[in-house]
Amino acid sequence: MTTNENESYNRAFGARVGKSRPSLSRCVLLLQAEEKVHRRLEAAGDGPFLQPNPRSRQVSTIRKLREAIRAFEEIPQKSEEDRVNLLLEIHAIRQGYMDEETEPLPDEVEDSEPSDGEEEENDGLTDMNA
Amino acid sequence: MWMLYPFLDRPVSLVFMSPIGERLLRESEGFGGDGTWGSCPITQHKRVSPKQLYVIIARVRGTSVPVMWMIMQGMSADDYYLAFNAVLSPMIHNGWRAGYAIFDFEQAPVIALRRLLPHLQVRRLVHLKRSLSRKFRSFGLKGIFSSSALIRWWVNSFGNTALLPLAEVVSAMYALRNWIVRWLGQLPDVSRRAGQPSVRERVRVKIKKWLRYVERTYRRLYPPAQWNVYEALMEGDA
Repeated sequence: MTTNENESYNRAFGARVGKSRPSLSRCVLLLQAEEKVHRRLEAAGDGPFLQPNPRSRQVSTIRKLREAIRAFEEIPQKSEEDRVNLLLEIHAIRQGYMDEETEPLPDEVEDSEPSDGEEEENDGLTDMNA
Repeated sequence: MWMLYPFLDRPVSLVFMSPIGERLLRESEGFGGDGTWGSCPITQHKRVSPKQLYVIIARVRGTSVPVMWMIMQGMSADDYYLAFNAVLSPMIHNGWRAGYAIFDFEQAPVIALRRLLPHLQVRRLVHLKRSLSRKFRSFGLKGIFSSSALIRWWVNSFGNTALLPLAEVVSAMYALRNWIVRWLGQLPDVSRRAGQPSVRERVRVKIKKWLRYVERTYRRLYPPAQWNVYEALMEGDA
């Protein structure tokens, strides 16, 4: 970041960055990271410039999810039990990945909530006495 | 390229996209956006302190790359529009046509982008499971969510229906609804005090309320076609 750009930022935001928040030096790291991307982009020409690792946990999780869903699709007459079993399998596959990745608990992450829709007629999903 | 927008009567937004980011966005088959409140620089002046850091991530050549950062004070559709307009308008003017966009369930950025790109195909998925589980706990079901692995599976499975073929999503939701009816039947039908509803009945009422929320939010306001990712999962690059 140049001096002028830094001054522009300071004028806009008062320039005191909280201790627990990213500092302006992170912005410099950002620019350095972009420079690396640029170099890879130039080296790759028209081809892929960041290849996913075929042995990564994420890739193997996706492969397992595809296999589970394809097996489900091959069932000719799907029952409720088949659907529940598939959802159990998907949960287990994704949970295994999450456990290894140590995802932060939802409470630890601030995020926007979805907007509530207008109250609608109940079409049966909530008819739990049915 | 830093672009500073101290709008006279609007909250300040600081938008950053480098020429590399612009090139990647131009090449991308689609892009996504998400905001974070926890990783945003703050200032001593509350009046001008930013509220969030919003990041645009491009899907290009089989890889997701962050390409645009917006430090924003405001979070209305107008604020997003001013920030997007500053960077994307020249690209649109020069012939850029975005493929698709993936967002969470926040309305404002999508409303803003549609003003610039009226035919943009918008998908919503980000944080579906998190939104569902947070809402579930907010309905007075925090205890049962924490203590029962089966209930956590059940709640998360509503989010996992996004991975199923679109035609199967509603059937799966019904299967989950019927599963919880059977599960509730196993709870003790006894009251802690005479004249009060039983534990089973109290949990049933709260779960029914949550199911109604799921119904109106993720089937009507945002139909499954908007958040289903079956095709992306089965035909993606990974």
